[in-house]
Amino acid sequence: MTEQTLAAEPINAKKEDLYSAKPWQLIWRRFSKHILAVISLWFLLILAFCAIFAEFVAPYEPFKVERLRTMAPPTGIHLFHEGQFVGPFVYAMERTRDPETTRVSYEPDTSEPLPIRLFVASSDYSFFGLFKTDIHLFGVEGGRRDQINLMGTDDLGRDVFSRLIHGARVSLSAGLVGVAFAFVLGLTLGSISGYFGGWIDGAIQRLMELIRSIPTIPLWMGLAAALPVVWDPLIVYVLITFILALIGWTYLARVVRGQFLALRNEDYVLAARLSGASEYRIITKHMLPSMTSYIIAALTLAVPEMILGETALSFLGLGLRPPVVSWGVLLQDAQNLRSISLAPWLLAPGGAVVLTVLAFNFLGDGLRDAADPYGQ
Amino acid sequence: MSELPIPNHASLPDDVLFSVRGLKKYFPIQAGWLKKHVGDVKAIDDVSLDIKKGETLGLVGESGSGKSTVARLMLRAYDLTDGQILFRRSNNEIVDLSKLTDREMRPLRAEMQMIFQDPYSSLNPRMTLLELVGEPMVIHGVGNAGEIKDRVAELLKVVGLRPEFINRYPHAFSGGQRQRIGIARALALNPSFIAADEAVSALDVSVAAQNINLLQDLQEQFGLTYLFITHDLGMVEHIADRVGVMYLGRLMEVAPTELLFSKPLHPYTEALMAAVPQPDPRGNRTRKRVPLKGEIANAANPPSGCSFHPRCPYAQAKCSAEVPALRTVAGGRQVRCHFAEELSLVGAVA
Ligand SMILES: Nc1ncnc2c1ncn2[C@@H]1O[C@H](COP(=O)(O)OP(=O)(O)O)[C@@H](O)[C@H]1O
Ligand code: SF4
Ligand SMILES: [Mg+2]
Repeated sequence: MTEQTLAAEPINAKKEDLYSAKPWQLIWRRFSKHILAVISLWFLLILAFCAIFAEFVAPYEPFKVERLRTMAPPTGIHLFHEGQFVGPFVYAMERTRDPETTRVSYEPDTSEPLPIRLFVASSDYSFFGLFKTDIHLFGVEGGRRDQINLMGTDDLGRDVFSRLIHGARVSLSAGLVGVAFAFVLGLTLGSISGYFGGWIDGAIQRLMELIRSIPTIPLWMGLAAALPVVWDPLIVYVLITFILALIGWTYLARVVRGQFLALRNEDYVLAARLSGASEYRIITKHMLPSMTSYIIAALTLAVPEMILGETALSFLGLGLRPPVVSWGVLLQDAQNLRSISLAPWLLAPGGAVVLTVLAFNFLGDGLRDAADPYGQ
Repeated sequence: MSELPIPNHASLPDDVLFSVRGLKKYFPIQAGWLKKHVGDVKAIDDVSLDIKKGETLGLVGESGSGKSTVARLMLRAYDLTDGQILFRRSNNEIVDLSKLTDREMRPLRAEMQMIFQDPYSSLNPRMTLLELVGEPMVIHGVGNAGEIKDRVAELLKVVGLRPEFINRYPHAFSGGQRQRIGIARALALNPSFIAADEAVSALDVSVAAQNINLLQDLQEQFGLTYLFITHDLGMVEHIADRVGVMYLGRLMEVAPTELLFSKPLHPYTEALMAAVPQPDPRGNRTRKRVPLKGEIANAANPPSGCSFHPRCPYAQAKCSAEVPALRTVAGGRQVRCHFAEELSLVGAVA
């Protein structure tokens, strides 16, 4: 009988690959089948790159006021000039004012194309305090008024695209820092709950239900309103993320607790214990490795909530305030009817929020589905 | 309480490996907001049994009768509510496991192992065969990386798996093969005792038979002692030397396998056998179902007197009033029934 099993099928290299694939390889295989999740991952990676290197990616400074270029619509990008292909370029904008309504309007001056160049020199900035440079990812060369405004300008002539990129840094990092706070709280309380059980579990569960039953917006507003206006924007930023985390941890704690409870009853955990494994070994070798993929998925799914929270608070004027640039702050700037009808491009940060939130959700869904590559 | 005399530390009959005395396990029932203790599930109530060196003791009973709990208590997966668990170590020292803390238990775990029912959940899917089967050696600090690898390869051969598979993960294997991986892990530290809890119940008949044969070969080869838990009477008849019949956390009867099947002394044993399909004279198996009437009672609220009385066809007034003791009767058999001597019950071998 032993021989019969031993003489089984010859080893097939391709199958062997699958059979000895590491857990994360299987997770990646499964994840990469989710097209939407993979696209979202790329989108978020690019967004993260833009946010980290905002000074480089943004063609202009976020605060640079251009009195003669207020409320300009997005600059059109062309490829053909007078029937001839010249590569991507823009036209300079001629500013005119309607004498009756005093309304400003812009007309392209089609006499001369302004080619879009990569790595152009423009305003100075310090690259993470390492060195000073004036190279930007893209831009147009020419006079002060020859600009490319991918998303138009606001009522002070500031470039909306540049502000959006700088806002991404604040909004994304607020989401991530908030999730990091929530992660610490959720992991600690969730594992205490799942590990000890009994009345401790009961008490933590009740606390979580209580927090979740409070309507979030009024709670945020109450907490945020308690922050003095005069405080340093950086402190306000940290406190805001902390407030978001105070509410967001319950979701993570629930995931962690559920995982702990499920894994405690796995036979392989009992097998390890019966082999003499210490609690430490059981937790680090058997429980945490199977939890990490779930926790990462849960963290990903928690980010959009944080971003929405920051946006909502700032939009209501209770969160971050100018001069800090976040998507919520930008949306608050656009918060009047005049801009919606005359300059709808000022709502671009809203689009950025929607896309980012969707991307995090798709990514999180993909990760969650791939988290257990062994389940059916 | 316990019918067997309780020995002092040094004395256990020479041929006994494991001796369980007056074992009790109550699981608290918790309810309400702060998990108040409102009662107990009496999963194990006064179980005493001896397992001899080199034998296979079968444990049968309906699901929920407490078989798994007995095995887990013996291996100290749980703390016990009451009782003694005497174990003879390989150096002949006798230890009462019930007194040991988790930490004190650890070195002893090398000598006693478990094989699980579910071939899927009992192997960590994120570990290779090398890590899985080698884990007990890593934990007990036996050998360096190279020695562990050699030993794992050897163990895989012993259970009929190719040593080339050492870097595979469990998802590459079928249920029967996974069960063998579990067996290899159990053998890693040369235990003297293995509890097999429904070890083949989840497998197809032919695969189950192969694995049973493997277990029997290993027993011969390594002088293992088995506690073999199953709800399949046919299986237990095939593999066990002696059988204990459990009902609602209590042993109802203990007897050598042949005697138990030819002449059961407890009405519950008879009822279990009546539910087993009998080969009919023409040779094709038909199911002659004489099912047990009713359901196993609630372990949180067991019936008074003999816990089997609500379902027992022979029950009399005394049965609901007095708890029968597990008595030793003629032939050295043990039975827990007031009327064991008076009843004349039908076994499986007619
Ligand atoms: N961890 C536990 N917590 C509470 N009750 C348990 C636990 N384990 C087993 N029980 C109860 O103990 C009784 C015996 O269970 P078990 O030993 O699993 O029976 P068997 O293995 O014979 O099917 C059942 O009533 C079961 O519900
Ligand atoms: S003691 Fe009474 S109820 Fe229990 S098994 Fe014997 S006859 Fe049946
Ligand atoms: Mg069981």
